[in-house]
Amino acid sequence: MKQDPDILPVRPGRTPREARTPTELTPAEENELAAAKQGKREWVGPGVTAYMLGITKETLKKRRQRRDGLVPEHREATSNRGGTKYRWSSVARCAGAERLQNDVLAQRLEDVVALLVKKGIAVLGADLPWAFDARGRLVGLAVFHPGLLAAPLSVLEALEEPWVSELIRAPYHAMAIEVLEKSKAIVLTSREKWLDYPT
Amino acid sequence: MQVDDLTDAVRVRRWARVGGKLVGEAPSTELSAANEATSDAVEATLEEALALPWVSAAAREPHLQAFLSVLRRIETALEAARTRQRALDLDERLAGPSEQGRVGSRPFARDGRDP
Repeated sequence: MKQDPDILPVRPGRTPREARTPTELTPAEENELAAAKQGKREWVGPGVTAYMLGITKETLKKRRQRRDGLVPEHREATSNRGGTKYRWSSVARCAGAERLQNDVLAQRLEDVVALLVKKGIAVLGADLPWAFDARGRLVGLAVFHPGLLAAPLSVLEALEEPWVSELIRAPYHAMAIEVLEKSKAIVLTSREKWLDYPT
Repeated sequence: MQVDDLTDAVRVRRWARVGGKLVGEAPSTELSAANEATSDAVEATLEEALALPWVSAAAREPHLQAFLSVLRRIETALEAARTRQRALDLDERLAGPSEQGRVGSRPFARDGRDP
């Protein structure tokens, strides 16, 4: 369809702004992120935090207010200017956990467990988002409990925590044992190959 | 060789090779020099290195034992955590449902004996 030359594509008097994705950083936030990465900042604002988690500031705010999902350690705003601040070390852990969760996202727990086993022994030390109930007991991976508060923990750290029950904990325990067994099998099978070498 | 924990076990290390076979870990203090001088070196985690060809079983054995020791320690810790969880479950069952924040019901109330 041909455009009428009398109709302007944008409203008059307003310069078109470049489209920015919801998680894009402002120049000030870019500086804030760089400083945090260099260890010069302990606390960062919601813009940097949301960017690291790959979500919008609105989503981050909703998570915090509803205590629902992965929220880094934070301190509430003391003034309108200051805003809520998030501890950088916690932001970095949550971001890693969020990434790994997205990486192994699957419908069923068994599928997620199978994907984690495939990642090998390093997965036991990798952060994942874990959901807690009101008593602070673990209930499983946050992806299966969207209504609960979550925290980033490595698989081994999570299995050290109190759970709602051993039954709920069992699949994750079995996964960790399977990872250990596979790792042991890899190095022991390799040993068989080198037994013929002169000592 | 000593491997402290999982983080140490999955850390990427630099391994020295002779004739394409591993002889051991390149000393960390000589890493930069090794980069320049030792063209035949490889970067790998301990697990990956153990799957590669070694000059001898004797050279490989201390690394293997260090790795297996970490696996055993992790397994022991996991089993201990499971035992703690079982004890916690048992405590809760013995304490009764009201301890878990549920509303207690009088015995026999649901089978019609309660007036």
